[in-house]
Amino acid sequence: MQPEERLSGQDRPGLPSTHYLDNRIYTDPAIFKRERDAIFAKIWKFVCHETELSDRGDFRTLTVAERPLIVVRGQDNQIRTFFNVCVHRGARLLREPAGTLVDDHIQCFYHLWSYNSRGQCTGIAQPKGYQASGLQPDHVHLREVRTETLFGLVFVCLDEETEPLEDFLGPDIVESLRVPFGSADLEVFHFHRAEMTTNWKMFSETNQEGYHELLHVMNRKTGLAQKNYRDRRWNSHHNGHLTFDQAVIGYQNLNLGSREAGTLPGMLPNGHVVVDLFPDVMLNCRSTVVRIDSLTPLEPGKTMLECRGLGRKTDTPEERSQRIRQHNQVWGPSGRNLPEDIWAVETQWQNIVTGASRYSIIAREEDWGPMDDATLRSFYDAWGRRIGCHAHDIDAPWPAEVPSDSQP
Amino acid sequence: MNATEFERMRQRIHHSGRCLDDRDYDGFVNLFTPDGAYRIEVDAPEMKSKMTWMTLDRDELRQRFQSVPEQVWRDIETTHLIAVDTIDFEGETAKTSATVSIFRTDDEGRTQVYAVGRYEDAWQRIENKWQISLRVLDLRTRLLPVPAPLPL
Repeated sequence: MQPEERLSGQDRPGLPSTHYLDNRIYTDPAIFKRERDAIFAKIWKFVCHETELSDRGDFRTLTVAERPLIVVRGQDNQIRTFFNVCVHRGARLLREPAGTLVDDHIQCFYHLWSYNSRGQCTGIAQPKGYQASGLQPDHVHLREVRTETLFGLVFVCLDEETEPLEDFLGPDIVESLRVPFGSADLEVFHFHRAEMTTNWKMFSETNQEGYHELLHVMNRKTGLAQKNYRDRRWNSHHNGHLTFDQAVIGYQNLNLGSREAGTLPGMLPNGHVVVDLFPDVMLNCRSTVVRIDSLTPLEPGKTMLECRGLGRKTDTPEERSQRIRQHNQVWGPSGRNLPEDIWAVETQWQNIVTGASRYSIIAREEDWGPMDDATLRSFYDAWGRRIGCHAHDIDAPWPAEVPSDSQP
Repeated sequence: MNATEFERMRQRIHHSGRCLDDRDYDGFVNLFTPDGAYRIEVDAPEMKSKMTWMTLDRDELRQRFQSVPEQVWRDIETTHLIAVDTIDFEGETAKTSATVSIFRTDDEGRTQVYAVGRYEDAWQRIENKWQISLRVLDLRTRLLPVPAPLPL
């Protein structure tokens, strides 16, 4: 059995086509390329928090849709993004993951062409050689990429036609980000990456469904055990974004203390709230600390996860220490939950890539309650519309209606 | 301090790694003073100040180990290779620095380097026994193939 085989007849789970997935969406190299071109190269991609570029000249290097980028805070304090490519012959300009420009100077190591943080070419080595052809430094500049910052969150977009960031997010999400993620004068105190052997969507799904909370002892004891747990609702928004209502978590059930002091604006003591930005970002606040996850697909079966932890800039050393402790109780490479999530999605990949598992069921219906799969159906609706593909059958004609599989 | 004392301390540092490899978690916790603590710290180019990825006092260490049976964490065999670099005694306290490589051997017997770093330990002698008042693992490996919910 190979994953490239199309689902047919009795292979299907006997569910409406919206309620299961063709597992080739995870493994098919052509789908992976379409996701790169029609999703990651089109959407506003979260790249970092502005406090990671706190000083003029601070930069980060990264890739979006496989394109190498530099995000840099200029001498005018504005954050801009450029292709991390020398316009001369295409060599990589900045090779460190992060740093600070010295004297506003970016120099290509290959032929020593120079640029500043506005992307202007400031120097061409041995310029006399270009006199005959007439090339001047102001004829060439780094290729700029659209960059917008909202509540400290820095986004880039490779596509000139995509709507502005706030339109991409929509008013509900902008409001959801305003508090607590945008109102608390936050800064990043934790950053780590994990390279996962799995498809990016499998990890993204863990941030969009509460059913897998059963996996985590932490969530079973501190979340599911709460009597109002079932009252919590997911909310679907424009463009596939999601929010998860605030709920109060019982940290004391696991001897993890209380989060009643130092709560961020808009948060209840021991409160928990989630905002998922399509397709890959989760902002998660557990009362006193914020976590931001984002994903970089590397291959169909390889994904880079970046995790950030945020607290208040105005923290005293004691407050920061407490916030870090609370962050690490659950999150980070030494937290309780991440090893479990990663193990789950890596075993999914190991099985699905062999063809041993041909479809995935997303059929729970609980009125958008915490364990409803409506969130995943919403995600795959947005996903399908962007890449022009049905998630239940990647070979089905698009956009033609496909008959329900429950009535073959 | 005489050579015997240096050797005792060296063995004590090696024993800390052996406890983790042998899953002798009580033995590991008992290496710490009652108010002892364990931290993992990381310097990363993306951050301007050092990060703390784990901070557990002795009770929390014990709790973390006791939670292993109910958690769904991969129980991967480890081997700590420790080289003690410096031992500085000062009365009833000491500071030590050791380089550590942690190997993981999976179910199929495949071994890979998992992480490298340095143990920067502070010790106290209590009832003629050296105990850790603070262990800081200064972790050089930042891209861990599998997260590490247990002390390394």
